[in-house]
Amino acid sequence: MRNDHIRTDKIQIRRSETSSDVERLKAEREKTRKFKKGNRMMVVLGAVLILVFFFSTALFVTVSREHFHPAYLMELSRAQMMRFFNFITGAGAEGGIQFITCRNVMIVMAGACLAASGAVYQGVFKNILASPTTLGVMSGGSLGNILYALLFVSLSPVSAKLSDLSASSLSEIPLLDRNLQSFMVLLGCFMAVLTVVGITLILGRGRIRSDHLIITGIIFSSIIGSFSSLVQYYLIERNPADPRIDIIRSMTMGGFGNTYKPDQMMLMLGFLAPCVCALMSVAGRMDILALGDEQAATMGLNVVFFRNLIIAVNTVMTAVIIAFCGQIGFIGFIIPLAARRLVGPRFRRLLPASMLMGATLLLIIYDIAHLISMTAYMNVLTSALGSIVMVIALIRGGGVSRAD
Amino acid sequence: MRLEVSHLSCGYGKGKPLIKDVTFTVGSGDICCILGRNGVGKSTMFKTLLCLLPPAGGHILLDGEDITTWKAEKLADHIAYVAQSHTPPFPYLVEEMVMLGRMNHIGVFGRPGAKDEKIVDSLMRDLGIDYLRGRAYTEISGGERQMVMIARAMAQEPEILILDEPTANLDYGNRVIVLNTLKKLSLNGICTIFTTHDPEQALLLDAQTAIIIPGEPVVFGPSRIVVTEKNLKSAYNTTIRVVEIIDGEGNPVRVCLPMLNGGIPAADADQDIWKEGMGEIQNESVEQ
Amino acid sequence: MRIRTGNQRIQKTGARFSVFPVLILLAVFLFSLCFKVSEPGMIPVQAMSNLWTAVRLKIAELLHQPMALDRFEIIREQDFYYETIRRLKNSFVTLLSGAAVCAGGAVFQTMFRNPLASPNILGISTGVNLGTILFLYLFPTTAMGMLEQRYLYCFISAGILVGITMLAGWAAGRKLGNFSVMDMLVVGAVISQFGSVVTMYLQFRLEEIDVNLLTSYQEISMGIYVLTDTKSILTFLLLMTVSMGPMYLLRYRLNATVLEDMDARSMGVSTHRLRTAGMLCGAVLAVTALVACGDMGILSMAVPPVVRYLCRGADFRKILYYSICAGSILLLLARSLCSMIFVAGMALPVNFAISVLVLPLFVFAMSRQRSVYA
Repeated sequence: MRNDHIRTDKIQIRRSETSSDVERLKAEREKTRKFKKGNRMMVVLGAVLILVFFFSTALFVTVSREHFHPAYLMELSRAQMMRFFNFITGAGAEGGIQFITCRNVMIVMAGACLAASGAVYQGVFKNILASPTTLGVMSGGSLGNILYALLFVSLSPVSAKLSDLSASSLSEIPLLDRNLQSFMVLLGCFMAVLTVVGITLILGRGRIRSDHLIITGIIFSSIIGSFSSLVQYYLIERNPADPRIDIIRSMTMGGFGNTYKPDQMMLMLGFLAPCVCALMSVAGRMDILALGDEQAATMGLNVVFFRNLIIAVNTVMTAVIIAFCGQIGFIGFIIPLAARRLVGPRFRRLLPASMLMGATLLLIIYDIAHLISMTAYMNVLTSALGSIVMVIALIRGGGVSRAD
Repeated sequence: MRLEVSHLSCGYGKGKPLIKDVTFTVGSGDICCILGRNGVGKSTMFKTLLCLLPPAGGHILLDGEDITTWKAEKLADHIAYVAQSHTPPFPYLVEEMVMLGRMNHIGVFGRPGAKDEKIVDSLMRDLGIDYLRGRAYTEISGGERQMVMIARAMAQEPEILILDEPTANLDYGNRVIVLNTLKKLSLNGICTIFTTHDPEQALLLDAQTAIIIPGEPVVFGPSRIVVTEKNLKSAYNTTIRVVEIIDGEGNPVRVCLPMLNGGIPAADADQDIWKEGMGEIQNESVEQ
Repeated sequence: MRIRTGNQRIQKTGARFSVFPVLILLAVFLFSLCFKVSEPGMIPVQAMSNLWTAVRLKIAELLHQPMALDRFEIIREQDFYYETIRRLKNSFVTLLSGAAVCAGGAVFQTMFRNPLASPNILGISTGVNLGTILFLYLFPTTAMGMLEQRYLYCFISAGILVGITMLAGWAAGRKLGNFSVMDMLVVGAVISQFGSVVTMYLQFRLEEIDVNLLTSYQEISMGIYVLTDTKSILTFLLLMTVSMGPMYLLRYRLNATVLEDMDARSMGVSTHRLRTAGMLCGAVLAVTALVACGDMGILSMAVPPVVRYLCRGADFRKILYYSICAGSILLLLARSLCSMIFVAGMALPVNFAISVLVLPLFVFAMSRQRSVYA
């Protein structure tokens, strides 16, 4: 090998050709193998989600209704059987399994969309730490909610909380009034994104630096947090039984307490489905965006337009979740991290995978919360889990600078 | 002052040392230039010389004393170090930056006095950076920064000055300024050790030159003798011509030119050529 | 000619600090003594004479002069004597707290070479809030009287949070062989977020026990509350001296931490020990101030960069001096002004006001910095 200095150019060229051919073939084979592996992974994730869904429904039934506890169910008396049957079909006075299923569907949607929005934020800002929580979007939503509570909630007993009203009386309220809270939350979320990204741009003099982004987001969150406690302080000082305190609190702590009506579920779905579809349809372009602005621009993509569009759609999606379920932190942070490990960084795969995983995780967390009766404080549990995962990920991954 | 490095091996931890068997001696007023390709272990050697890493073998003697047993404070009185230029996060003024070099003379709880001010002042005038005093270190150019860092190191009043690629990222004008400064310092009796990727600089300064070649003993000697095409070829794994030209005053000056086409591609590097070259290098060093 | 200019400059470079900030500080201090909207105001002369009376009373007590005591008893009855003394204590603790928290911010930023590293990002503020509310939650009835335990809880919880943050920075940078400041900051920020969620949760549980307890916590966390009894002030002063003393002595040496580790070590400075000392002092300073004076928002983060922008150079002696002055002036002013602005019949919380006021300044100063932060 070493002494054939006098090689004809042809041979060299052919050699290089054949070697590159082999490499290309190898790469293609690798690709298809990965593709198949990714598909299999997707099926597994879907199966896990369905399993967890049923398990969690069963758990709800047994835990929430005392006489359906497994110990009671062992006694297969006719009356017990009838009761259970009625519960399943929704015929009896128990309210039916419908509401449990509805709640579970809500949780699945929330988890899926939060995880997807986290994945999208991470892709658009090219930073694994960007998520609705760390960017301050969640806090922005809660700010909108506080403003709604202060400006629009009247203290007269006639208009109580929307969720307490039945469907018929709900339809009598004008559309704007009915959805005012959601609008305010949406407004708050947009404001938060604009503020945080704007301040980051000022700090980085025109460039978005990931560390600046996170720290600005957290400072923004902490200021909103102090504003929120300020408002609560005043409200409590004046009247400890003020209903507005509850509105603010349920938003900051997150939970699925008031979201079990089918029409609400449909409303949420109606907002979320288009957003998810839109994001899925631009998934290929997001891959290009993740390459960097200049690279994407040379590949013929209108970077500014697409990025803003994606951020806007994503923020709407997050805002809808916040409006219905309150702040649920860190789901959008942990899941894309794990999903990227499983199916790789391509968005066409990453998005569905993180949606499936997000739904599964949130269901599991809700089950745990149910067992230790902390369902009204979902944010505490998810934040605890999220910060632990984050610290471990940073330590093992070797830091932010290399995680970009 | 006499720095003797004998059979020094450097490396991290217990692994295989990066550099083995370095032996050289430099005295006051010498300029020592270290050449070698990227990642060959020049910085590691500097860390060992500064006692930031324990040597994996061999001795470093300064006037007959083993410096590896010295405390950092004592070492700082003798050896100063200039890192590759970096930007500190805060806008220190140039004079404050130079004053930081006095840290080892000031003491833990002290602060700079009139004597320190006087030393810094005269130093800055000597190095010709007096005009920078009131400016922020973060706002000046790369060449000026390098000069400030040299001034900071000189404020330590060392006998040996170690510089890590002092001319990296500098244009020709600034390179000449830095090299002239090194020459001036050596005339004042400071021993200067620096690395560079430009073999010409060793020739220009007429420095004692150490060429680090991976897997081989270090070649050390005056640049006129050591900087040859063969040595450079084995050091950088590419063909470099050393040619002699006449400068404006009629003196011969040697320059190095890398050849684009004559080089051997790294992947096909021929073992035989390597061995051949090394043999000659060894012969040459024996002749010295 | 050349020598003369040199000499002139030598005089200029000497560590001479402007007395201007101290004068402003004194003026603001006097202002905070004299004016308070909810209570009767007094003219500065009156305040001074009251203080003079207090001093003479103390001397008389020490020298056992019953005659003098009787004489001053009359003045004590007539004037706003007690009010003056109360305000004096209040303003004094406020002043020192503002100074301490900004000194802590300055030392952390210098040591970590990053203008974002400050007590509220590293988790100290959150730790103190968490400690306070945990303490209130565990001892609901006797909480406000147990000073030592409160300090203990705050120190422990702040220590745990900062410890996790530092550990994360160390572990993330381990592979590269140096400490990773940015990772540490991000971990600190996320842990602070988590801590504030837990704090909020505990607030709800606290309300279930007693609404008044929640209100007193909120007063602490919003910076309305000040410890003013003698024992608290003595503890406060002791902790301040213990932490401020070493920092004052090390004030020039701390400059070395700004350089790269290798540079500093080749200069004969052990940055490791210096960092540990600085960190301990800074943390103790910040926690003490936050316990005594409640949360102060982003004051500690914002003041040193603004000071660095305003004065030429970044010598730590200068930064420390001006940060201390600016911090105490800002906190005193914010407190006096907040006590005059009423929202819904109550004084405006200080930490929120400070955050909103100082944030634009901070962003402006950061955006005007020429250097690249790494």
